[in-house]
Amino acid sequence: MTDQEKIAMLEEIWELDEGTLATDTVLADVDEYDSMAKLSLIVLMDDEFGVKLTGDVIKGFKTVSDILKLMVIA
Amino acid sequence: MINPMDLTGKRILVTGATGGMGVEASIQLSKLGANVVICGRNGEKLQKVFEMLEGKGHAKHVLDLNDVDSIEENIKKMVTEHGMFHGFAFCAGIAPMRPLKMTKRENMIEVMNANLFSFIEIVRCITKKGYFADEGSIVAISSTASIQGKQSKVAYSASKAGLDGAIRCLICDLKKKKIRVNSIMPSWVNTRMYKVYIDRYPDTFEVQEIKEKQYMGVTEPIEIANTVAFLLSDAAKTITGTSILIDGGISQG
Repeated sequence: MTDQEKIAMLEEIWELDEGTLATDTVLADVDEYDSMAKLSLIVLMDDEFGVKLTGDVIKGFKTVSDILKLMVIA
Repeated sequence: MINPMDLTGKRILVTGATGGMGVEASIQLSKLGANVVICGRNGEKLQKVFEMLEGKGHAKHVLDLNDVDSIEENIKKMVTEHGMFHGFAFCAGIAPMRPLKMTKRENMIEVMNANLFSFIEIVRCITKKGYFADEGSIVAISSTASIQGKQSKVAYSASKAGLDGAIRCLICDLKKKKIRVNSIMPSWVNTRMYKVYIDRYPDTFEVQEIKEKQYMGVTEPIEIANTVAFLLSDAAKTITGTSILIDGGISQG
């Protein structure tokens, strides 16, 4: 899966226009990245990648690329 | 000394016996004199709970409630091996948070099987002639989600509302046998499930809500266990078709 495909998945669950996110986008600058967006991310990671995110891991995410690194099918 | 919640000589089935509330309920029921038959998915965990039961005459059965079709033969086996039941405590359940847009049919089926369909199937099977004592009692763990809407809880709330809706009908179907059926609606209870929530969703509205609105504090599992025991006992002889809210004030606060 390419970074572009992974970014498209994030844009879809966060209901962002295509092309809004890039690998270096700072999450703190994304208005839509709120508690519900984090929940959507938890569910996406569990469903699609079998990754169980914890609160600490989510707190550690600074940019989009930090998330992409964990979007790997085990 | 008197003990209005005495359960001596009553055989009680507990499903979800390895979960936070199920463990506490199983132990408390055994301490009140019941012969407990505990069920859970994981044989090792079940053995640990079994060893914590007080007194004699208890039994354990590995049972996966997601496999709803296997319930009938399992109940039959239990009754054949141990005899008639006097009570049933449904403590199994799953509580995933899932935004509406990510709630697909397969997710709903999973929640419904675990929280609702398995309950109705057990009640259907365990109340067959000769399987359940007249004037016996059934208790299910519901949730405040049964009556209160929340974001990302569509499947869970629907399953719990379904549970309470089913209970109101079950008592009508079981009228002749005078079998009582009730539920308990807890809000936040201090179980592993609660700790997972706090860890996984630390910034969400739900966790803030617990701190601000459940002003009596998070409920300890023993309080749920005591309420299960009360509803199963003769102290609640004419309480049926209802639910006891144990929410630390969250619904009104």
